[in-house]
Amino acid sequence: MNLSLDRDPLITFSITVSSGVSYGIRFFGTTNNNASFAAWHEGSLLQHRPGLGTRQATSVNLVAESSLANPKLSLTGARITRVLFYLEAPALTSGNFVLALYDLHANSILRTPADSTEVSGNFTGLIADMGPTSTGQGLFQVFVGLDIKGSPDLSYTLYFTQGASVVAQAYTYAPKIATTYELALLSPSLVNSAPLFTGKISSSSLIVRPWAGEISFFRLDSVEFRFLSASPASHAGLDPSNYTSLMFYYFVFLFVIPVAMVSLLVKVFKDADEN
Amino acid sequence: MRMKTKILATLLVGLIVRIELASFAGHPGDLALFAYSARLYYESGRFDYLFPTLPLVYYVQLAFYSLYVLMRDLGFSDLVFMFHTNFMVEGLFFRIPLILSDLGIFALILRFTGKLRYAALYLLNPLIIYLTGAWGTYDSLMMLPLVYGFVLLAKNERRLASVPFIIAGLFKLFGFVPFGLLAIENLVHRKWKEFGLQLGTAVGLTSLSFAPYFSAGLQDFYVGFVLRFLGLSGASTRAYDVFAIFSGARFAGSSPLIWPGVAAIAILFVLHVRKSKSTIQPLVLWSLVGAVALNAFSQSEPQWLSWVIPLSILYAYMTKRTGLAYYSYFYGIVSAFLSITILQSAGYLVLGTPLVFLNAIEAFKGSVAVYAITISSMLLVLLGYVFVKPVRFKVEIVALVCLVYLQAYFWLSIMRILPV
Repeated sequence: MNLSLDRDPLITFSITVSSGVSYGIRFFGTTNNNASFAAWHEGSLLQHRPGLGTRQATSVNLVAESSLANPKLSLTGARITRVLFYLEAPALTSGNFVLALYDLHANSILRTPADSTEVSGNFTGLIADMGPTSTGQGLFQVFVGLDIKGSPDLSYTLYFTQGASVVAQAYTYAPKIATTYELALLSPSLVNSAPLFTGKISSSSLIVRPWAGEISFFRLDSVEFRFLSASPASHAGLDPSNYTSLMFYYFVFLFVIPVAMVSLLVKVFKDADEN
Repeated sequence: MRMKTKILATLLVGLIVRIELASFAGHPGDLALFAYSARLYYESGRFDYLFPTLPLVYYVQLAFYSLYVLMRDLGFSDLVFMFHTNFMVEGLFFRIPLILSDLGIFALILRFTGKLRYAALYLLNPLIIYLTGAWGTYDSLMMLPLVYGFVLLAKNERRLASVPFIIAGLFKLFGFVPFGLLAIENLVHRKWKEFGLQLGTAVGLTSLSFAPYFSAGLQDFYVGFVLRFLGLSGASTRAYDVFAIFSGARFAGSSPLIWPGVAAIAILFVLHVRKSKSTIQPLVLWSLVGAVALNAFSQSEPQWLSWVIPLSILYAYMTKRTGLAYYSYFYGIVSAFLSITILQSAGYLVLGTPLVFLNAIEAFKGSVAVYAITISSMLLVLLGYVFVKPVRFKVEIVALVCLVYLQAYFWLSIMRILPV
């Protein structure tokens, strides 16, 4: 293949993989200077995916994947030249397994810039550029107040990204009957997926990704970042072999002492109270 | 041994295990939320309108946290233990009101029943110790006024009893269940004045509690909290109840099934209260059933399982169902064990980061479904103890619950008969 990353390509493929085995997809490319690079990384949601035995459609943002794998690499003029699908089975697994690829196509992402915090139209994603953010403290939570309208089947989630990395994610939301206003909570602990679209690599972004349906109206009302002071944990370096002793101590105070005391009380009071 | 000595010994054991656990363990997520809001107030003077739960909890925390701030201002240096998000002594200060609430409930049960073992079954219940001592969640704050409301009702202080029920509801919405049932009872008996006073007090106390929100932040509270608990929120969050697990449905807050459940409880309460000579017995009974229903049909957070414990003890005493009181203790042990091993991992509260020690009981496939089935079965057994004629607590019940857990484990985790 020969896909220019300057055109912000989005690859979509449709695949069926037998259940019981895993699969993944990896991209490889060349830079403007003809140097090769791998546009995939371990830990990506595209690696070691469990086969479900049913047809699945997946979309991949190639600029995001390339940036995550090569944070310092200049992607201007770079191209994706090769794609690899693999199937993997755990040890001692036997049988016939299938990976069937039905469709693979690429589209360029059409971006409509807006200067306002309020937009109307039909959108399959929204990106708000939040500028550079402080990295000195650990991000704890992001609260986003937003007004949103869309198709009846609209369901969406929000991401806060730094470059192509997802720093925090929200729950999945659907429009409510009571109000169009939503207060979304984004947290680093909720990250379990990635947005299809990315903001500027040098900046942080707030991204709204619909899982289904389209957005017809969006207004960003408020954004509140919460940082929790990252105090040095002086005992974090405790020897893991001591963890077991600590757990033992914990269970003694939680279960053993209270149960022993209750047993004693019940035994002592049995005659006085029950007869 | 004299009675006073036994009471003191029980109190000391209950207090020591809580303080010991609170000194190093804690829920890193929840305590981070509490610490953030308290620090925000004392460091910048800003009231946190995005405090994750009801404001009365925030006020209590701020009051106790002020002592910690004073200590810090006097030069006290605090430490972080392992991977926790808060300081050690700071975490302890969030636990003081919870521990005091537990002691208060112990005293109320002891006074109401006159039996130390009933009070001890609450104070030394591992689920309650786990929630207040180790976790640091605030369910005890709600249960103290809840139990006090029932004690007042037993003394026929009807008008006064609704006040602690409202306060309980302002700590955690479950407190409004007995309050609502008491209001229904007033309507059934055409006590219009009582009903009016009850409603007026509720509106007054609720408005007072929310006063800081009136100037700013009410919209966020309405969307982020009220709609969530009415099942009208837009967010699809996690749920641990058996229906959500097996249907795969992700409810926005409470499940819609909760509404028929609430209606059924209200109707059954009316039928019961019409036949009954007393108010307190039907009120405790249907509040207890309400707690079970909430755990069966809504998000069913593990801390909600604790609500049935004081209610079971009170009902056990009133109806001479000793077996129910002992069962609530066993139920607490198993609930704490399942919550630790399946929902959090054994190391989570201790180290401040998820860490599995025994893969076989902590990190197995379909674990949440096994948890949901075992908890639902225990709640069913509890209803059996409540509705069927009084029986003693027998060791067969322990075997039965173990069998349910093992069967669920076998079919859902090993045989994987359902995609859960």
